[in-house]
Amino acid sequence: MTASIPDFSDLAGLAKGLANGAFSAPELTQWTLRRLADDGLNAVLAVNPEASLRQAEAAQAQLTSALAGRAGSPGLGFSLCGLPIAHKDIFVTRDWPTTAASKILAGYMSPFDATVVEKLRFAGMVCVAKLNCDEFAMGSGNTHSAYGPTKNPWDHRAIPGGSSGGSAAAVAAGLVPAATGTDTGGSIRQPAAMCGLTGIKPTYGRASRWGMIAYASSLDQAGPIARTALDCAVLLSAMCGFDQKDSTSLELDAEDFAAGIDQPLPQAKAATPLGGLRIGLPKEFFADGLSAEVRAAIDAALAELTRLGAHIREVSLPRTGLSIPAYYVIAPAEASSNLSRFDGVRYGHRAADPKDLMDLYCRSRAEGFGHEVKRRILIGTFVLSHGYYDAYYIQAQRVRRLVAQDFDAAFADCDLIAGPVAPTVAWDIDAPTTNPLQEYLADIYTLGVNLAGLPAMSVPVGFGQAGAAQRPIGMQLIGPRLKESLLLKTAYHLQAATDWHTRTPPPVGRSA
Amino acid sequence: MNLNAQDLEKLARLARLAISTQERDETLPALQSVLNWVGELSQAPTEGVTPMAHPHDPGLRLRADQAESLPPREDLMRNAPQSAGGLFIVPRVVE
Repeated sequence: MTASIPDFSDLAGLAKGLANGAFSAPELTQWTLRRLADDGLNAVLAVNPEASLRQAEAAQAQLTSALAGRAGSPGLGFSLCGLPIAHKDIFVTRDWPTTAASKILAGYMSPFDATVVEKLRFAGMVCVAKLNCDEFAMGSGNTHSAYGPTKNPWDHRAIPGGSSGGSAAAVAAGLVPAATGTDTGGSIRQPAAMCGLTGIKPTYGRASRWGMIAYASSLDQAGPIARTALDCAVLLSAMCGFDQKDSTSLELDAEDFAAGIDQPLPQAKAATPLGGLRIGLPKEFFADGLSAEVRAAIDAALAELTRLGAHIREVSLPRTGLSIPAYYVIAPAEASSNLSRFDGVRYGHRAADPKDLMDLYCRSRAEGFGHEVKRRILIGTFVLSHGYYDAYYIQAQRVRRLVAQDFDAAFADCDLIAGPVAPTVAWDIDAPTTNPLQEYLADIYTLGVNLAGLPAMSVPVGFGQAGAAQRPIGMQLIGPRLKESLLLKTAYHLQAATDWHTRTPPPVGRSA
Repeated sequence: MNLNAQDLEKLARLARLAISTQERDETLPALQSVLNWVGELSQAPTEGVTPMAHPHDPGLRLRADQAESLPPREDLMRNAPQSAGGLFIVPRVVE
């Protein structure tokens, strides 16, 4: 019945199928739900076929009346109406349980939808699932989920990255064409890189945080994970925009990031569409610790960007090393404050037979939170406590400003910054994790962006080898504030010239 | 900064986290190594640098003071572990 729906299609391709009637929105939704049910990766935390099909019927009605009217929008942009999307289980949803991959929120049903969820639904997208992640988005490997780790579809022994690991795994495996993620220190870019996908974190304040369960409020941003830069551009356009309900939302008009994405830069020629683009390589991103295979893949991608007309130059982000401890003070501090709302009184897990209110708080939280979350709450409590506040928290905020100033200085000499997303390909799920520092240090190239509030994305550029299996490599592009369209355009032209983004892993599910 | 078992117990109480002796002893070395490492920050020269709390500093927007409708109370309270008559039930607070 639905043989015309191709595996691993991007959103743009599926939008064409819906527009020309090759399949309907309910057919596409049913097909997607069947794939999600046959997961094999532990990427899916919740489905609600009834609610999904209801949304699909509504989308189809909209599609039918729109098709009877006029043709689609000009340019490469396409309507999201009728296309499936799955959400990281950090976004609250009325019709699906929301857990933040924590036991403390098991079975929680939100009384409202997150703004990002609502915006995508208004665009006609059909929500098909809630996806696994690290508990409260705290982690870099999806191994800190209370509901078990997610597998990387490229190599089931490997992590999919984190914290938006379920999002990346589900899209990479072709279970769903796109998913939302959140990025507090790299949680969209790093899993996108480790699963061979494209993902973007916009400038802080672009996407509303309303209904996004807060980890570190001054760092958290939502963004899409999809197969191509074009898909990400269309999704990001629908996700962003001013929201009264988020006091940190930027008062900007909605922007169409897909408009003119395929056009050369001003003054550039069609054959060298990135002509004149100055790309800065931070020397600190190419120092010790970067694996040879990641380095080689990044170098090859940079050579491709040069062929497209870009000029490569060295820049410096001298506080790159310090951005890690600064982040691991600021993020836990904000987390310890944000997570104080989980008290076992108004919602969430409550311990049995509490002897008094204090006992209720302490045992409900101890039983509900996992190890990594507790560790970060304790670190955050320490750095905010009397006698240590100035030495740790305020000092980290001073370093944060220096990190942001380093980016400003670098952007005086270049239009965007390129480098690796992570020092290595995905590591093994069962790699020993006695010391949390090991995992923290792997975030070295992504954290500074969040401290400064800049937009950044990950683009697939190759593979490393792990035994017989391939594990993907991503290149990071970092832009000045509000320059998402330049990032997306650069990624678009790179993808027009290369085919890394079209590679697909071995099928999962039935055979797994 | 050297953290001892009592320090950790105090932190756990501040954070409203019950902690067993075994958990305390397992957590202590990991927490200590993280704190030693973030202690590197003190080496960074930051004299005269204004702390940055937020990418949007200075200042946040206020919204107009307008009444808006909220989801009904039953919806907002449906996840409560224990409630009665529109109130959250907790152990007795006043003796």
